[in-house]
Amino acid sequence: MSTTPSIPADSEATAERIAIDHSTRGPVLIFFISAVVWLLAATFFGIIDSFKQHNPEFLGHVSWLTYGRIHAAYLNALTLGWGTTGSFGVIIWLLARLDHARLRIRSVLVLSCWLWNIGLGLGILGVLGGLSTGIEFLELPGFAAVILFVSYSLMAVWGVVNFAARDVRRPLFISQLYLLAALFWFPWAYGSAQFLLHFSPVQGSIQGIVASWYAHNFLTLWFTPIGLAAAYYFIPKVTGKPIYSYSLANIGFWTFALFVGWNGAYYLTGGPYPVWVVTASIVAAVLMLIPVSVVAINHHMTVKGSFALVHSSPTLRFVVFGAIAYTVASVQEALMGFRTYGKFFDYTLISVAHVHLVIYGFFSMILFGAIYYIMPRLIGCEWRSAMLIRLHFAASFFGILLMMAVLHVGGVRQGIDLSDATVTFEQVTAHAMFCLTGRTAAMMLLTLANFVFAYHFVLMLLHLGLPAGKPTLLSESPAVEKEAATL
Amino acid sequence: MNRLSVLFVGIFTSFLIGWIAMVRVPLGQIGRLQPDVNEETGDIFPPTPSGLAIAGEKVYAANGCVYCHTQIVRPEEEGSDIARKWGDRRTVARDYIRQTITFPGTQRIGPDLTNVGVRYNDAKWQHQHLYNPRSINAWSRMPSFDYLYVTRKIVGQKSDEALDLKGEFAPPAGYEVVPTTEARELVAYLLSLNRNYPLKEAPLPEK
Ligand code: HEC
Repeated sequence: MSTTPSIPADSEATAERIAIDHSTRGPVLIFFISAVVWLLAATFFGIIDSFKQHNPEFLGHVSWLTYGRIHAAYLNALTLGWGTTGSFGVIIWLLARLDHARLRIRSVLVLSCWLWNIGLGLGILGVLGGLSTGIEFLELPGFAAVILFVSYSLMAVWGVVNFAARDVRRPLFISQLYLLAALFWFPWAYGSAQFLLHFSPVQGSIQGIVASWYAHNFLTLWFTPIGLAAAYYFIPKVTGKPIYSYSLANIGFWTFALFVGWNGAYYLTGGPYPVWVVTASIVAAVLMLIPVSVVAINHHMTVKGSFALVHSSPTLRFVVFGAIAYTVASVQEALMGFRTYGKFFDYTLISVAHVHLVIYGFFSMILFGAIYYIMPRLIGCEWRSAMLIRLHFAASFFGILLMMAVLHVGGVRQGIDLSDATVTFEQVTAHAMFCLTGRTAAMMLLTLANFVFAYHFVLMLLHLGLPAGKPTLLSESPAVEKEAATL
Repeated sequence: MNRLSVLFVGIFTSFLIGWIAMVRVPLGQIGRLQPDVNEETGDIFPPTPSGLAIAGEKVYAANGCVYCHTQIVRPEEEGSDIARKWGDRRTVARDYIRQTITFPGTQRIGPDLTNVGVRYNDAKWQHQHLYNPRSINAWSRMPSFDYLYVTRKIVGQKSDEALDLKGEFAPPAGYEVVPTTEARELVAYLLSLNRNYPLKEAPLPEK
């Protein structure tokens, strides 16, 4: 069986699709606007965070701005702000399209968005004010977590209602599976971790396992399925070809579902936990390579023969970069489980590199690609400047590459230094210096990229784009003419 | 066949299996540990920290110490932790049962703190280091937590708690730097970080 969100043959289907896109306009726009605002906030915190790592006295005498609070604000604005509100936008738009159903209960979505922003905003203020829980990825104080949970529940209710109202005559598309799973998995993971760590804390002996299970699964049960859903949708869409193998895609999904929850403890080698937990997690990280390669093969074979499009279509360029970064990050993850690797590189900058590869390299890039595709269809005009998109891509590309390079070089050095007890901490610190300054340079490139993107996004909101009809391409390629917003 | 319910069952079961394996079973296994009573001496380990030290966990959490410091000593064959004298023995689950929040951490920008109360058991030292780490190690990249201290005019006698700050770090003449309650709690917590006791599963090595 080979299905794809097909390009409709008749104008009736086109009209229906336009109507569906239009029905999503209000909610999707408000989520995207929130996402861009959070992205800028995260960028702002991120650059201060990075600068403080080599200049500890920088803005150092105010409690609000201490490294430990800025860092928490940065992580949360980036993941729960930019990543999550952006995801919501993509989920709404994609599900409406794939369900072939005009958007229902729109006011619930708008309410959910406001609640999310308020909860997260108050939570981050709380963290800056000294209410952080001190648990990585779960720093927000309890009251904020409750608001987020309520907001999220509204969102999930909507997802199920919309899914139930789908056009059941059409076969299910693989992206729907991933999105539906993500919509359920996230609150289960978030809710159970919050409960066990915060509202009714378990004994200290076990908190480390729960926290690391959550920190890992927040990325893999939430961001990963959404990123893959988007990649599975946009790659065939832009290339105009069906997914290479649909049964492979199904196998990929179910093996993913089966192994993903077992991950998260592989970097606890030597920690005060039962050995089997760590071992099971290492095995799972290796088994994860099955769904990862399935996805990689499927995407590669779909894109094959259309590489010119990767060059010319903004969406495809970002999405393909993200898909490749996903494969790289997953291989790295499987490596991280090995004992010799852990002995040297646990607790070093390499784990920071890994998290950033997942968040920036994989997830954010796919999100950018999706927004480049969706916005023209909501606003009714095309992106104003191919040059700005090229600049955005180049700055992100080199920013991510530079960050990976310096954090890996610095992390390897740090790992080798730390493993040798004769190297003093002063020396370890001195050796890491260049890589921390390099990281700030990388952050500056990403800052540039994000601001260019935000500027372009605002132009789009103000309807200052090019007239609809001919998509903005990065180079001439007649083949993608069909990507035009009116279709 | 209602596809949604079938999908839901699949999505739910896959999550549940992972959750049971990675969260629930470990919880049953090491989630209700009791302190260790030494039959010969009658000592109970780990010792109960003071109320002030427990309050210090919140200060530690609020100021993000966990992003730079771990509190895990790995066994000898898994890294240099013991060779670096971060502890005489590895840490085990039972070590953490008295803490309401634990901070295993994921980064070692600074040294491991599992036993920092053994290495530096002098509150004055801890306060001065927190006030400005560079007053002790010029190369330190740890932030100053001087906002946890107040600089005030000396009225009558200098306070016993006043920090001994020298040179560029010293307050203006006639002034003194004293810890706030938060700083006192934090230091009580740091001083309580001491795993220098034997447990059945983790005896101290023969000296
Ligand atoms: C930006 C990273 C960073 C943060 C945040 C940080 N530290 Fe540190 N810490 C370091 C570094 C680097 C050292 C080693 C240099 C030194 O002694 O100052 C260190 C050393 C220490 C030491 C001395 C350990 C030893 O064995 O020499 C203690 C105690 C300490 N930190 C406590 C804290 C506490 C408490 C907090 C939170 C209020 C904190 N640190 C936050 C980086 C950090």
